[in-house]
Amino acid sequence: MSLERINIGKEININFIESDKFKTNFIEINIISRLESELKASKNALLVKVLKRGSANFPTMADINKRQNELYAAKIGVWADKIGEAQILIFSAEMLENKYSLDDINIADETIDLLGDIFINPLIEDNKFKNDYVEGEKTNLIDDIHAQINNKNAYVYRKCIETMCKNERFAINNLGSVECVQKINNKNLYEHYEYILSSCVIEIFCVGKFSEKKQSITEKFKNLLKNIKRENIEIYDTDVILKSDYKGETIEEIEVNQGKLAIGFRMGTSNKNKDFAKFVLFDAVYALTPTGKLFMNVREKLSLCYYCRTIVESAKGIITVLCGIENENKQKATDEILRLLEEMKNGDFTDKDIESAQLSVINSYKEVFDNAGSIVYWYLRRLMSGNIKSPEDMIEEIKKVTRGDIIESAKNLSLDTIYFLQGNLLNSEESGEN
Amino acid sequence: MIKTVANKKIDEKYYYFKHESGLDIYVIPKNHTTSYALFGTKYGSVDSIFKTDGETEFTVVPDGIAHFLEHKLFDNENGINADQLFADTGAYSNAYTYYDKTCYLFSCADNFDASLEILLDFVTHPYFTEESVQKEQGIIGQEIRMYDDNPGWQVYFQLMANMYEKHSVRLDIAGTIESISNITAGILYKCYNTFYNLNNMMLCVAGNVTAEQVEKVADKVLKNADIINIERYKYDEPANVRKNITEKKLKVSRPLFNIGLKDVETGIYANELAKKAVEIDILNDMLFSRSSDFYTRLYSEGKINNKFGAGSEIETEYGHLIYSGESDNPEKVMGEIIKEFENKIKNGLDREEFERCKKVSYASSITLFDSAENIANAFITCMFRGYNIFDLPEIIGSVKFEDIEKRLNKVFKKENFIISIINPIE
Repeated sequence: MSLERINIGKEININFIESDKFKTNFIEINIISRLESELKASKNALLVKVLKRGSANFPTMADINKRQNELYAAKIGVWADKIGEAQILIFSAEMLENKYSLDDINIADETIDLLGDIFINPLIEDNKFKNDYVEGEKTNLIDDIHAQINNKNAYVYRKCIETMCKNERFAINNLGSVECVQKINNKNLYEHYEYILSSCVIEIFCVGKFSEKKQSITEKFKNLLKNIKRENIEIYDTDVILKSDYKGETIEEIEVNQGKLAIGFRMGTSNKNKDFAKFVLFDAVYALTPTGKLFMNVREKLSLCYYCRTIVESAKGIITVLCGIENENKQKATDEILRLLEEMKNGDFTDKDIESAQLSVINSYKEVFDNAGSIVYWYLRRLMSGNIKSPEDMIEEIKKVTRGDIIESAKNLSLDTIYFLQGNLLNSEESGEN
Repeated sequence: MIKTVANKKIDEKYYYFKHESGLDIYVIPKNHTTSYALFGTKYGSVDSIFKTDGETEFTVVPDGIAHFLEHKLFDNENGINADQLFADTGAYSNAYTYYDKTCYLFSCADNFDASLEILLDFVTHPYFTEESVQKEQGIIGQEIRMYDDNPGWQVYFQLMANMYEKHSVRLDIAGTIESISNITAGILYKCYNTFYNLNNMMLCVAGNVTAEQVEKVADKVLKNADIINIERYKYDEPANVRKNITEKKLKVSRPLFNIGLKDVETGIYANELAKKAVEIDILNDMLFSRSSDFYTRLYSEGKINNKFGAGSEIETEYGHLIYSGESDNPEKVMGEIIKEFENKIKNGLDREEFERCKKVSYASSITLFDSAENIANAFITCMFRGYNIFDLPEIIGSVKFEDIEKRLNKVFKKENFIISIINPIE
């Protein structure tokens, strides 16, 4: 699976990945914004919401959605994501191949036009966004920020990261903060939009059967972006802290049934490193697979939890172990998770564990080819790390990882922070009945 | 004898054969890198009262047992569980339990034959002991506790518990900590021997494989099963909902709601069921999707946000439409939904909107074929309902504007609405 990269402007590239596996074509525009303040994060999060409300040619949400339906349910997604210390403003479109059209509509062309309209041709009044839309979406964004408490697994993870990275940009919430959202208006948001267009790296991906259409799609995007002045392009690097001292344990009491444990470590590496495959395989033996140490022991042997897994922030160099347990098992689970890491450092795992982990990781890399979204996810992250590798390249590297490499990766980990959500909800406090 | 069925309009084909063991096997070839296999039994959380040939009394088993059985089937007599066996092939494996089915699956890029052998073998060889049952009670207990804290899950099962009076679809799929404490190895064997009969099961494989390859592995592993006739208890479910409002409190930022409309028409099966489900999807899209007047109005008034969505579950024995979201005043949203139904019944539906929403259904019946996982899951789901996903584009094509008008009048019953709310803990 090769990537053909065409430069169409200052730090603007189109990446074509040819694939004949799908009945759809997939296009994604990624604007990469440096994560640096809560206000900027809030502006980015709000901007994507406002752009989705209406464009110059499709001024209401209903107009946009009716158009999508006419185009055979063209799936348009507009949202902001966080990768390392960067925020990505994503505009994606998945469209049915033209040959399945039952009328004369050219689905691909028209969908790209719709996506382009949302992205580059917003609804503007007097050099400002439409005030109703901005104010309405501010309310929705504030709701979203408050609603982050609803998902307790994501909440404990976020709190652990915030505690761990207190003075680092990575601690900035992808949605910013309520106070910052309140500072935004239709004028300063439009100025921010103009800034983003002129100053951020833009990576466009096209996955599907594009062979004969590459030229015309490239021209289409060139044309869309021709009026933008590109200047002072932002650098979106991520600061990686390789080692840290243990900062301690925080316990937060909260009205939930199950206690939630998060244990954050610095990885001692990141995906910028050429030999990142070593860490990937360590994670696979320790945590990633159902035969990994965490699953086999914390769940299967001790029956302490239903899930015990890791989240890896490969750009930032942080790995966090998460599990849901009874409050009283907190110490038991923590001790076991740390003990199993010691086993990894001591090389207390079998050659079969290594082989299984290799097979499992290779299998997951091969699966990337079968989903257009996964292909873009793969390449965007690797482009950003400056370490562009195809799944095939990584498979070759995974095969070469040795026992010594895994032990070394385990030894590179340093425990940073433990965060525990202690459930204090008694069943009697729940009102209502089933 | 392997049968080939092709649908030229969607450029897809599948192979079907009934294996001599009694198992129905479907293979859908795809030029993907990985292959996906799904081995399912027509047995889920709703099947908690049943009897087989020769039995005079119904057996009643603890709630949550189908899901418990799913977990325990990964154990093998030699102490090596199925996950460990799959570790030798590199396949990703998993399983899930739903109301009407339990499915075991793997996906793999290499070593397909060996992985299929593991799948067919572990699902057809149960090994339960009292000790391993006890160990699992701890694990599933934590799974249930996890769902106790999941507001999206709670708001839905609270709705189901109060929309239905008698039917077992009203019960949480995982059961409760109390109900699973009554599970023993003996009851697990009873359920297994009843429902994990190859005549009650189906294998579906999508990906870079041939039917011959699958047949060869099936020949090696599967033994002929005697046909068992299973009688499932028929619930005398009343047409009305159990209550119209149900609430509880959890740690959430603002009220979450699920609004249900119970569908009183039951007994529909096969292609008619497929057409009915499509009609309801199109109707929901026309009235409540993001392109609708309803959505635009309530969204701009701040009564709903982008989490609002409409859906449905339409089965032979039961059916309902569901509207979910967040709102400071969920009951007002229910009032607006009812008003919108009444408005459309009185003033009529929009033909152009119908054409657009029909395109949405048509497109989803084609894009489904982009993923081996989606193909296999949809295939089994639909086959258990008596129809074939290859017929869906045609079934969707046959839906007329007048069908939607009729469906609107038939499905709407003001008294059959129910709202489930999760309120924030103050």
